[in-house]
Amino acid sequence: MNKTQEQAWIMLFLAPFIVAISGGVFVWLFYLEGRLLMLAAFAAWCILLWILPYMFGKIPTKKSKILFDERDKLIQKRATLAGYLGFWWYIVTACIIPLWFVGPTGSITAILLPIILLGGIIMFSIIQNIATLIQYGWGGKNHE
Amino acid sequence: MKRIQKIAMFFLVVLSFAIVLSVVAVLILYFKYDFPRAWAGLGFMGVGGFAGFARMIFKKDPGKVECDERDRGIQRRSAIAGFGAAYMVVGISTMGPFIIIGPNAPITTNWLPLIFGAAGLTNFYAWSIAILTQYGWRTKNE
Repeated sequence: MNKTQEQAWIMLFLAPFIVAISGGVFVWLFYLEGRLLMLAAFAAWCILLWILPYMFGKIPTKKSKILFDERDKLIQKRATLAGYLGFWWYIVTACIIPLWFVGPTGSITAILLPIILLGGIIMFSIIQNIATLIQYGWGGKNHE
Repeated sequence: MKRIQKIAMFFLVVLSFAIVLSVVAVLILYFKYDFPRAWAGLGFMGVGGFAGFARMIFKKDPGKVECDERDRGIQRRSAIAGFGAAYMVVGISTMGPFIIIGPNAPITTNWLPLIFGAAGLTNFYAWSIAILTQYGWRTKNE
């Protein structure tokens, strides 16, 4: 199993938890502490997500091995495209279903909107990682 | 001008025309019938669908190499710009009402199709502008 496959397996299970828990924490902060603290926490979370990949990139790895070639790049590109398409299918469906059931003159509570967004992020992550694993063959040795 | 530049320019023109047409229609209907009936003017956004014919109108030149490494890089960056901009619109239009009016406030369901409509429009706009910015808006930087 190569590095990308390991990452895909980890992220397949970890990403939905991270997104769901952090989303829950933001809503909790909103109710308890107000919108300012929630926005500050959200900004801190975004900065952390932006910085973390750079920090991991600085950790020395085995230099002798080529870890990422053209084929890996193509697999990553296809997986991202699959995640992107899945994300849009989900967003359109998640917006149409309430409209279908409640009707155009009805209303929903505003809490549903961030739930739709969080669902979209989770959907993107799950589809991207499954597409990566499908293309590598779920972790067989021949696909390294 | 490259084929992809022509396609991006066609996208910009058709989508802008659709937006202007819709705004004018909404305004006319507003003064005549008032809201919510005036929202029917947004139906003119359908004109933007003609942008999809761009790849049929601007056909590939036979035998010519269309895409090299630089073109692929530009197209990749443009796709990322489109996705990033659309994702930002989805983020703002979902988190905005939640933060401004509060989690328990009611919001009309008409808002929901507007979210992905605006996101789709932003995606194509950002993609077209990114293509034209990187290649140049005219023929020089081919």
